[in-house]
Amino acid sequence: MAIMKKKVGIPRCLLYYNYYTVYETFFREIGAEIVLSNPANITLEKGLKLVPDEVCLPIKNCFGHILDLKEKNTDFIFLPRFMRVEKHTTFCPKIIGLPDLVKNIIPNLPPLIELDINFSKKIKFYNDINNIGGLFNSGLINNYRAWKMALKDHHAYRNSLTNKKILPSSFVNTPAHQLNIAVVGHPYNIYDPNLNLDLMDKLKKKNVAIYTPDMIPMEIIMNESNELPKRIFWTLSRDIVGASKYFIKHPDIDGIINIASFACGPDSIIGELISFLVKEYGKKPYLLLILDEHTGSAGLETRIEAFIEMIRMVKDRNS
Amino acid sequence: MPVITFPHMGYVYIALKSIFKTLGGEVVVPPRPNKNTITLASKYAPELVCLPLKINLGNFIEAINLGANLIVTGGGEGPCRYGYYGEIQRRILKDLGYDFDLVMVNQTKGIEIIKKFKYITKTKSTWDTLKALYFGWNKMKLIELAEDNLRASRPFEMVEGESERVFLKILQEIDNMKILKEIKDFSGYINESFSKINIEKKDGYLKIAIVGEVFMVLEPFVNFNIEKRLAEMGIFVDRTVKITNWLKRVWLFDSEARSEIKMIKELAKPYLKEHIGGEGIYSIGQSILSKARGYDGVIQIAPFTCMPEIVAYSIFPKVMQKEKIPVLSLFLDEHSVETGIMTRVEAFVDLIKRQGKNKHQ
Ligand code: SF4
Ligand code: SF4
Repeated sequence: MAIMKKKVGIPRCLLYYNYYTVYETFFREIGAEIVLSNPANITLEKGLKLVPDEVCLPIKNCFGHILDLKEKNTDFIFLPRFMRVEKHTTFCPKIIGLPDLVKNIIPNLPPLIELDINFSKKIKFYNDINNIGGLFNSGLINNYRAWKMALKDHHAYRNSLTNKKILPSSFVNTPAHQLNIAVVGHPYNIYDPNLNLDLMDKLKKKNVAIYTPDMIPMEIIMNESNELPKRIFWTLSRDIVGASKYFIKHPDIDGIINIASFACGPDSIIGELISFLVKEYGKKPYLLLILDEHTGSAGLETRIEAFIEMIRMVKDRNS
Repeated sequence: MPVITFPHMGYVYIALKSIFKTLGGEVVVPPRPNKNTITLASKYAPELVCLPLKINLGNFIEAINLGANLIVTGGGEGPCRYGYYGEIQRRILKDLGYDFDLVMVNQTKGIEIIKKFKYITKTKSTWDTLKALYFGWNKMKLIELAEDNLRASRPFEMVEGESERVFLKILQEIDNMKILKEIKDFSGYINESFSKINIEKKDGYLKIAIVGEVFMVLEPFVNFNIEKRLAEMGIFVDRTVKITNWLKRVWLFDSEARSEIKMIKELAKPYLKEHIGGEGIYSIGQSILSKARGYDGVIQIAPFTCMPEIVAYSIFPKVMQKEKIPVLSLFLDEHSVETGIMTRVEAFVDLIKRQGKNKHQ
């Protein structure tokens, strides 16, 4: 008789969009059954009711995902605490404090797997990984094998995004009327349609080719951001600014859309920084979309249309 | 010739001014944050950044207009916005066409402080720099001692305004001090001056602890002088956030401060496991500690969208329920209206008065 696998719930929010290959491979390999939250089930109202108004939309949305998982009655919910994934950068206070927010606000959750992700505490980390494996009856050797494999998959996935060398050479074949627009922002804002009101689809329907920071190799991002007078100390914002700077300077990119959250601390700083970079490197069309739960889909549509219209005019004038 | 200026926050300017002047620098202290500062801030600062950045920016413009050309401000490496303030402010002011230099000093790094202060004032001697810093540090300690005395006497004074008069006189004297020797015995003088004030403590007076984001708590202009307003209601106020504590916490040279931090973090731990930047974890821990020390309530003050304080705020309902301590959270920005805020404060005071009755009698 097959043993019932224990279930781990993974909320599809926040850093999930950066690291889901790691999560999926690791839990699969230690013998867990993965249950993902379903974005289609996420009604923002539920999350909104629990969390104070002042909190940013991505965190509110995350509460919706956790509630969805709670209903799915998994054995555990995986909610890592992101502190440091590399030496010089960190995450915003809300991301660091997320497990605490969740525990103090939602009662009667299944046990949380709160993996501390902190670059500077490697020994503790490997110990924690091993303990997590133990929860799913996996032994030491298998746990580390699973972890190594997870990292390998993650790098392979990252490379598949950047390896295509999409920028700049393949642009030769761009259809004449297609626009190349870079969409920058936190990955959760870019990839979760609940958060950006289907922005990506809206753009695609307008014959726009979309480029995101994920497609830019890390070396370029690092070089671009290292040139700044002051280093960006948030991991995700560093990626956004580094990639934006590259996009701003890149002749094939016609315009840049920055998706930011209303109550987001880092976004309020780097939104401003990117406007300065746009000025500094020669005025590329730049649209800063600041979204929250009150943003309407129709209003967003109008703003995008106006932006695209403007880009086309600039392009026609220059050609 | 560089003319130095720096952000205004409470009475910190007295210490900073002293350090720069002792090292031979020329200093322009920006005007106390005022209506004009806010007007400038709203005009030129990005709308969605936290209020301290905006007020500092307004202050810098005011100082530049008064002749300053070298801005010295704090720095850091996250996780909060503060570490990037200076760079954004620099870009905004340059964009407006102002001519100045801006130096960020990461206040968490002792060596960097000494190096940068030497650079700013073109001082050659490390010893002189250390002496000047030590002098400023001691001035700050005296100012905080005077503030403690003010807090202990103002709610109970027989003659209205007397404590503040004594306080302002002492502040002036500290500001006037030119050499280290004058500091000797001054703390005794402060305590003595306040002890001459006639006070009458009524039974069952209320005690409130103020926690929250450093700038908002320390700068009376942005918090509507809440400490004074509470004192006028006869309430004893403890402001847990102090500059010297804050610096001791990051420098960790003081074993007493170290053990206090440890205790506060321990208290916060069941609710917030990790330091999340800013005051966050201390706001939670201090609130619990205040309860243990017999305080009747806690007021949290922070700027609108303040990240660490929003985390604390989201967790407070649980803390209030479990630790049985009332907390009022005030998130303020340049649009906050004094009467609205004060109505909330008064309602809160009424609430804890009712709750506290049984306990104190
Ligand atoms: S980075 Fe911004 S959007 Fe993301 S959790 Fe922090 S405040 Fe919210
Ligand atoms: S602690 Fe609050 S006010 Fe200070 S930088 Fe962070 S968000 Fe802004």
